[in-house]
Amino acid sequence: MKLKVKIRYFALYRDLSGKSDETMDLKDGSTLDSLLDEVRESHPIFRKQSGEFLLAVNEEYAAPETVLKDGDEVAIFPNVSGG
Amino acid sequence: MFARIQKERIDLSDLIESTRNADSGALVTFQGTVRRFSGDTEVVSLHYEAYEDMALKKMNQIIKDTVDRFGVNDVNVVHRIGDLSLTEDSVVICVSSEHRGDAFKACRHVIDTIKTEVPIWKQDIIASGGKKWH
Repeated sequence: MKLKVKIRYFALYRDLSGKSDETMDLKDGSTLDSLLDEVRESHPIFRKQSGEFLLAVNEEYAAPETVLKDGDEVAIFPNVSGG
Repeated sequence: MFARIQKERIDLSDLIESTRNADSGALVTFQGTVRRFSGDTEVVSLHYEAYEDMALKKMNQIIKDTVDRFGVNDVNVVHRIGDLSLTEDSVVICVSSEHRGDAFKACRHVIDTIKTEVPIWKQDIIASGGKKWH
């Protein structure tokens, strides 16, 4: 079984990926960490990125080992800098 | 208690009046403003971007946690997005409480937490040309 997730990129990572969002098909049981591997595969420029990748699922910060569900919205972004 | 994200300039006096109440003897306001230098780099303006739904959710959590932790009466936060010129307010936090000590501490806590937890980013628009994300 496959699952489909929406990925949103923000700030520097949107500029690097060249898109603000995309959908990705993943294998059942995929984690955020495995999603990140797929993202680095499809956007090789991220492999050179030494900065931190902050991850959120459905608008909450999430750990790399989080198991994704069909329809999740994943956000990938650098360290925040508001204020 | 409220959190807002907006493109428009922040109406400071309106925000202060929204935070004022008869149970509070202290009203503390923090304004984050756009400055000319980012380290050694001269900037002409800043661009702010937010993951708006999550940023609002986080700011509301911070406000609730702050009221619970410091026992203050009210906390309101407005953050700008879009293009901001030098000297403009990028964020304003207003806290009211019975006494000043809790209001100062709570206000400091809110801005410090926003800077580390809320998904908002700034980009320098550099005077000599170019842009740089923080």
